[in-house]
Order: sequence, then structure tokens, then C-alpha cells
Amino acid sequence: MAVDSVRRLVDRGVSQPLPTQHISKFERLNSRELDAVDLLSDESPYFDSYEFDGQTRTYSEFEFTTEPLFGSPKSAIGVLEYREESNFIFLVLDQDTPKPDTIFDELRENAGDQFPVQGDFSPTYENICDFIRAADHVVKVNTPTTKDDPVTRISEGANLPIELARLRFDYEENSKIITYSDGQLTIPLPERENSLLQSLSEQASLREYVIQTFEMAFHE
Amino acid sequence: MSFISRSRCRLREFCGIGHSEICAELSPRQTLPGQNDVLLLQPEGGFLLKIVPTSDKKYDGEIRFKVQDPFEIRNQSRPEIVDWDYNQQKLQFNEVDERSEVLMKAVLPEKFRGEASACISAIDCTENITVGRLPMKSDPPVSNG
Repeated sequence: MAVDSVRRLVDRGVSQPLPTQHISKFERLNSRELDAVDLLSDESPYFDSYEFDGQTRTYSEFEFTTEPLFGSPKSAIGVLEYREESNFIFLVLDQDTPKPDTIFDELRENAGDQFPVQGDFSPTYENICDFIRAADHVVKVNTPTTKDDPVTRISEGANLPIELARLRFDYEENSKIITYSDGQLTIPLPERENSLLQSLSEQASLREYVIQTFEMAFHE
Repeated sequence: MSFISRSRCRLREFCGIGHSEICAELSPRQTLPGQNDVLLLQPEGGFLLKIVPTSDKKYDGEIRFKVQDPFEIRNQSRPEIVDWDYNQQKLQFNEVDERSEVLMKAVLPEKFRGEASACISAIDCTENITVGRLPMKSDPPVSNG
């Protein structure tokens, strides 16, 4: 299943193009660009509108080749999604290795100022709990700090440290359970006839609805 | 402040860890069987940092994490009154007047995967005093055939 790992660019509000040339262990394959269309106004139970309506969404498919100390090199194909106004970057991989941190670290070291990715993703408890409150249904949340029912406490406005949240989001006729844990989103994609790049870069989809909700909950 | 918290502070002073305006406790979220005080990394492991001011004064200060290379510390999430500087490996607390809990994690980068032991030190930057420690162990490499 495809997993999104989240980061921000260091310079917020400064539009940066995704790196285009071959850098280090990255080989850029295909890319796609489109404008975000507000999906929240008519559907979201929590947010009245979408703040980043019209922003450019850029998707860049790449091949990443690891160079292990022992054994032969291994390659993985993934997609980097960059959202120009909110400055969020989503790294989408549908395999376990290499780890997202490995790819982000490589990007940080080699793209440098051209595409300054933050070292880690450090949201506030309020960000995460806003995202939970914006779901259509809360299936489960794990918190290390309270024995009281965390779902009730969050619905009443408390902001708790959350290690894992399983949430149901409904968009039009679609309904999916997604998982948030430690800067990673697991969003089921429809059965794929197309490439990962094409599946991710649809104009309107449940995934795009979840991503817009995420941007609203987590933006600073 | 609770009796348990006061005891922890006194214990730290007795052990020579130092005196600070705060008590800090690092609680591992994953541990090795039979070693409940050792953080298990596979290849990362979460821990909860609990900060309690030792007086009625609000705490404004910084906690810096120190670990042996190539381990590093990352933040998972934080209260609104706490900021995190990844490059400095430092938490900034702004007017904390009661218990404050921050979800952190220790990471062993993928290319260094293997069995290793290390210790996380939490240092109060104002007094340059170690206010908490947590031993950790990364798991042996997983054989994938």
C-alpha cells in the first residue's frame, strides 16, 4: 500500500521548483503539474473552505538507487508531490525500502538550497487533533498520556499527543480508512490500472480531499 | 508537584546528575523484553519526554539532546508552547508552568542498520546540566534471505 511521508520546505511562502536535473541517487522519470481545486467547501464537516485553492501541485516520479555497503544496488520508484502555497512535500512510496528518511536525507544533502527540505516533521498536538476532528469518523487513536477515552476528549477540544490515528474520510461516494502516524499518512488508492504518478495526480479524488484536509489542519 | 516527581528530582541530585529548574523523565515507548528501561530501535524508537518545573516559577529554557553518532533525535509532535530545532537537536520551552510532555524518537539511519547500544542525554542548556538519560539499543539486522 502506498504511504505518504510528509515534510515542509524551510522557506515558507517561497515557491521552489522540484529539482529537475539528475541529482545523486535520483533519476527523474516523469512529471505532472496541475492546479488545486477546493474540495473542502462542499464536503468537509470541519473546514468551511480550502485556503490554498488554485495552488500548483507538482508530481515528480523518480527512480532512487541505493548503494548498500554489501550486495548489489537496489532501485525503487516513488513520487514526490510538492504543493506550492502550503509548502508541503509528500513522498509517496509503495514499498518498504528504502526508508523515506533515507530519500529525504539524500534530497537534503544534494538539492541543498535549491529545494530546502526540513530535517523532520514536527507538528503540534493541535495540528494532529484538528486533523482527527476533521475526519468523518474516528476508528482508533493511540495516545501515551491518558487513560481517559481520547476520542471523546479530542472531540471536546483537547489536544493530546497522538502516536497513531485511524480515521474514516468520506468523499462523494468514496469512503476509506486512512492512518496517520508520526508524519506518515497511509491512504488506500483505487485499484491501479495506471502508474502511481497518474493515480496520485487526479484533479478530484478521495486522496486529494484527505491531502487538502491535512494541509488545513497542519499549516502554520 | 507530586511525591513521585519530588522523589525523582532528589534521586537525580543524589546521583550527581545535577540540579535544575526542572525535572525531566524520558520514558521509552518500545523496550526489549526484560529490559523495561532500555529503548528499542527498529531502526527507530519513540520516547516521551516529561518536563516538570521544580518551583512555582514558569520554565523558559532549552533542552538539548546528545547522542552518539550516527544516532539522532527527531520530534514526533509537541505542545504549542514548545518549539523544536532539528539542526540544534533542541527543544525550546516557553513559559511552562505545569507538566509538559513531548513525543520524541531516536533514529538509527538506514545505512548504519545493525546491533548497537547508546545513551540519550537530555541537557538543560541554561545550567548545562544533564536532567535525564535513556539507554537504547538497536536491533540486530533483519535477514531478508
